[in-house]
Amino acid sequence: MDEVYIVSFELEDREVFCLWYSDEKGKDSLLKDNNRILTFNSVEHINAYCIKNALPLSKNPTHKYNLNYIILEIENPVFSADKILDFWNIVEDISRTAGIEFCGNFLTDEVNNLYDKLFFASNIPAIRGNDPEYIPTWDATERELLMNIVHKGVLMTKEFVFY
Amino acid sequence: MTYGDDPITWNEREDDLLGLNTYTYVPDMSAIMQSGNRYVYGLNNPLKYKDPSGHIAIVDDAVIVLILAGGAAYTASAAWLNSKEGQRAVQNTVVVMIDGVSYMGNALGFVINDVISWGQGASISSAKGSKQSGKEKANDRPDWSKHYPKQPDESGKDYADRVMNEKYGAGNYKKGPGSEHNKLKKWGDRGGK
Repeated sequence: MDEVYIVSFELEDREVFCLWYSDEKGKDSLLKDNNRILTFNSVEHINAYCIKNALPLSKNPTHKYNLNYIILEIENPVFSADKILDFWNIVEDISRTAGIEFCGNFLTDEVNNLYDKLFFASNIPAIRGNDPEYIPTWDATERELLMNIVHKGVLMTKEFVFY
Repeated sequence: MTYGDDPITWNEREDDLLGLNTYTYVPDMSAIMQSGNRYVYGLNNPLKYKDPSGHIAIVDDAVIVLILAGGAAYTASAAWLNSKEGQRAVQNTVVVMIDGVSYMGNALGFVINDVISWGQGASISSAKGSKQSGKEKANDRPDWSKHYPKQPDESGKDYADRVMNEKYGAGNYKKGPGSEHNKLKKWGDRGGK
């Protein structure tokens, strides 16, 4: 791995820290210990762990995922596609780490089309450039599937990170 | 944790951890329906089944057929029953109803078969394979989506590296969770079409 990155998950008044990395093939996971996702109570604990285990810790700031926020966000008629895509992506990493199937990973046309739409709705500057912002409309089926993916993702995060 | 009072919601409990009217499945019960995996939707097959209430996965087309059949039967009023047209209408309605019931029977068969197959530990590929709904969405995307097409033999990582290097210069960008690079990489890994 090139570097490990700190991510945190917030749920009400709890915040749990984990280490995220990308392997040589570009597959992303969270660091495990004894078959469980390794969690820390603070950045200080992470720093100490990385020094002890000679892990190259990135200087990037902690990337936060707030579960309460993400639930509220997906219920919102006008939601942040970027935040939802980011959460979908981290749950994909959690599911890979935990070895658990997740509906957001299904490579069906329906799920793929939804993911593509979310991806472009994120208006990633590297590919959008100065072109007009893309603001899609979401029909009831898409919203229902999106809500279910997010809710399943929250459940999975609660079980495998807040254990 | 508090289990719901409504017996219909026997497989749900109030999520008092989040307190946002979300719910989690009771593991013992949902294991029957979801093959022990609570992170899937509509019996692992969102194409075939809908689960708008969270109560049960249903095949929406079958329900529509039954409603139509019921509506058609209702329109066959008593005044028509003695006329030839009325009798023909009743015959047609019965045929439609039989079709509807048959369709529902098939749908129920799919559900039962799938529950049995997941209970036996069938692979995920069986859940997402056949019998798609045919309601594929048109690819609604912006014109600028064509600016950086992914090459067919390119990995998600290579695609993200290429786009980011071209846009910002080699190494002049962040990687890691939530970064532009990571989003491009993941999209590329899913096919990036």
